[in-house]
Amino acid sequence: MNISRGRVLLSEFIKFSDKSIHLIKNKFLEFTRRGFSSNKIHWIYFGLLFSALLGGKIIAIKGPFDSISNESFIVAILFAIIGYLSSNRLSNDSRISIPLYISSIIIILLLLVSGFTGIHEWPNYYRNILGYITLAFISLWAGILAGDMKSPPWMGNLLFKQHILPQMKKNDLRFLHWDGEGIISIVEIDDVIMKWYESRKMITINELTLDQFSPVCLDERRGVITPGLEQLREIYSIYPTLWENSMKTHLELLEKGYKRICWLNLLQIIIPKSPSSLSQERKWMKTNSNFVHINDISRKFSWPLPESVQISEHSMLTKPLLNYCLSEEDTDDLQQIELEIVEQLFPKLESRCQAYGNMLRSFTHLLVVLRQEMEITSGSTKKQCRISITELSQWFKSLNLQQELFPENGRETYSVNSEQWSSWVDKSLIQPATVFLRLHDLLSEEVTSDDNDHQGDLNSGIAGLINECTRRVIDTASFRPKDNFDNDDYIISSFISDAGGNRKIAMLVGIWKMLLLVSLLKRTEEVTI
Amino acid sequence: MRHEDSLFISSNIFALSRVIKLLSIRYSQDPDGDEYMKNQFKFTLSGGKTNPSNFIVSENLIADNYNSKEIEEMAPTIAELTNKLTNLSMPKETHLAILSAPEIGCHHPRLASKKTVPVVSLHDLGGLCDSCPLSFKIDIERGIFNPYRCWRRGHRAERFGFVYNLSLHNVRDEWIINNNKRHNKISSSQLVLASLRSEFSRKSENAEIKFNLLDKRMASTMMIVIKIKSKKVSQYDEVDEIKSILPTQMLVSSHVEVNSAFSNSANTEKLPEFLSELIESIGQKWRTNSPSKNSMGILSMSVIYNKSKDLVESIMPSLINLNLKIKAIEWSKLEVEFIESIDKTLKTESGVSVCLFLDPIMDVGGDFN
Repeated sequence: MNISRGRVLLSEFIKFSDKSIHLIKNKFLEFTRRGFSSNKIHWIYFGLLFSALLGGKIIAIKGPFDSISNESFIVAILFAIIGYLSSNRLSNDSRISIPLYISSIIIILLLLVSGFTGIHEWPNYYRNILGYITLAFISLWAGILAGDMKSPPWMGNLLFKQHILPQMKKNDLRFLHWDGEGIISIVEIDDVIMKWYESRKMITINELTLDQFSPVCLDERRGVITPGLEQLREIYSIYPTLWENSMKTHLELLEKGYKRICWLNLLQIIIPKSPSSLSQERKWMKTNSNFVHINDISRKFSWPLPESVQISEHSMLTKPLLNYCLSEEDTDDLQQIELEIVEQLFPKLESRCQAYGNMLRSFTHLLVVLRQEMEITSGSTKKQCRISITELSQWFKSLNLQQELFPENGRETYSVNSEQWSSWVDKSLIQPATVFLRLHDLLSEEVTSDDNDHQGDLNSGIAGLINECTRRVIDTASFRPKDNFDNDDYIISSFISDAGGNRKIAMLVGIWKMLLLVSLLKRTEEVTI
Repeated sequence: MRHEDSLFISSNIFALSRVIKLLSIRYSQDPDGDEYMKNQFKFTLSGGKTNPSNFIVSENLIADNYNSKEIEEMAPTIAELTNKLTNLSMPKETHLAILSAPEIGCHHPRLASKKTVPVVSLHDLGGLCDSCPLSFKIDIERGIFNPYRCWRRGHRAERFGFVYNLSLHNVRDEWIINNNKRHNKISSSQLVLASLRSEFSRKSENAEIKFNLLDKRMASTMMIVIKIKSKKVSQYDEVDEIKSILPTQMLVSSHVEVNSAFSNSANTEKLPEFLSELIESIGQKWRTNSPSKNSMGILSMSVIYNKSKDLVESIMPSLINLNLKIKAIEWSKLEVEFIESIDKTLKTESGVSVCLFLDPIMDVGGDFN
């Protein structure tokens, strides 16, 4: 009985000591990451100056500075420079600042004690050492004060770390990181090491720029991730305006990060996984969510569309959108993440993944341009864009079964940027019949060309697509309501106008499909519509 | 004829017809009709609307001294208007009523005696096109596979012509259509083949067919070639395939017993009946499913043979009873290129192939049904 009780107690003790060690370790880490307040630095600097003055002045004949030579000037300059250059590090990293702080207090005490007691009785050697050390520390702290920490963002960074981060933790907020390779992860507040780099005017979390992060709420029970920017703004609002201003850069960067994640969510998750949701009105979009893998756990990711899908920047128009949003690298090559998406969407198509990847990219750009058109227009054009998105989405999902539309990896395939799509979409909305006819001819040439005899499967895919698109237009164009509704003029006229609208929509959908295919097989400059 | 044979042949004919119909909306049968078809297609894409402003006479062109009643009296009747418009050159207009028959290359002997024949009237049942096959004959010995020059039957653009090869086998004294890929082939233009492949890929049961590019010289004909295998097959299935491959590979399998009946002569007793039933069925299907309602089904037949005279003699009486123009021709009387397209084995082996020349008629402007 006693033995078993002893075992229980032992295990309890082990658990308790384990917890305690863990707690102490966490507290220590938290402490080391927290950095040093400017108040403390100012106080220590003042203390040093005061004690040096006092200690030096009381026994002026034999003080710490009476016998230091001209080299003291060099020591002062050297330490001031060190302090200036490492201001951020020395003030932010407690592993360095705490020993410096303690050393400074010891020096202050030594100076004060020795000043009122008998420093003149000390050997010259010790007095000189104290003098040099005092000078070095004064210069160092002066350098630190004059360095990075003089700027408001530094102050803001400190305030953010000491006030906002604990509040975020209290409100169950975390940081979501979306890296340049498209991998999403969640960073707990305890794991955040936040730094301000004055020279680069940059704030980082764990050495990654803050604009790659966004605050998120994670509902552990339901496994749902939602944006936490509003909650962060609320936390900000409880602090004085002066503090808010100091932490403005942080909020701006996190807002930028939020917008970036809105775009990445659109390009990397919504369009490949549920493209039809793009045809919905914005108010309904908020409820949409998709499953994503975050830190190896599948979570429901509910994130809104970008506030505006208007692409105005030239580089955004001309570069692949996903590449642009993920990283600033100037590359048009397919990214690994794009190939991974293709692999997920179209499994068993490894031999055609390049073509599928380029198709996905062109499709993404087209959908963004159509959505943009949908947002800026109204009436029939808006309806045409909305239905185009829905029908294109259904077609895109069926591509898994239409391998014949895609050439093998050996053949070069191309993608279309947003700028080109904008121009094609404008032209198609104005003259759909002409564009349809031109595309029909372009693709028919591809089928009947003697050079393409060998690509039987691809030819069959192209022919199938042309036939499907044409049949659809003709079916809608040949709709004759008069046969059925001979006596009702109102119904006739409404049906006729519907038939006209449907025909245009059928034609536009056909145009988008044919454009996607023709631009996959030919360079953009060869596609004249 | 077995139900599955009937289904097999009708689904293939239907697929061919469907594809040609679909393409006929966008492509002309004649190179001279390309411009017309382009306009026609554009017209269809734009919802079949004609710009009324083309027919409105500006007020300032009407003399002041005419009042509205006089204008009304002067207005032509529909018949007069059609007559006038048919004689005008209107390259942008797509309505068949105002295109004249000579414009589409009609060379019917009775055309000269008629004043104005709009193209639309050619499409009527009982129109000139219905009697045209009586005036122009297919003569393959002289290399005439298509004696027509008009847009409807001429096929000078060589887009829609096809040769469909199938073969008949005798299995357990019954004649059947062999639905194996090796024995079913459709040759046509790149355009038709691409669409056919797409059409067939949707229907897995029809996937067993081979596609070939058709020789340009045959590209204006629509023909079905029925090869009669005079060897008897006891049971034709995958095992037979293996059996036929094993000896050539110098292999022997104890699990597969090669049947001696494999090479026996087929029982031709039931062949004439089967063949005429099959041809009638093909004719009927082409008449109802072809790209034009004016189709006559099968225009004529040729029986091409190498040595197998007995077989030809046994089938000819029943074929003659079908009331179609028919001629038996020895293979050597045909040009080698034609034999290559029809049945190249005839050059080296004895055998019989029946060529059915389908009516290649199509509607000008395409079939929208």
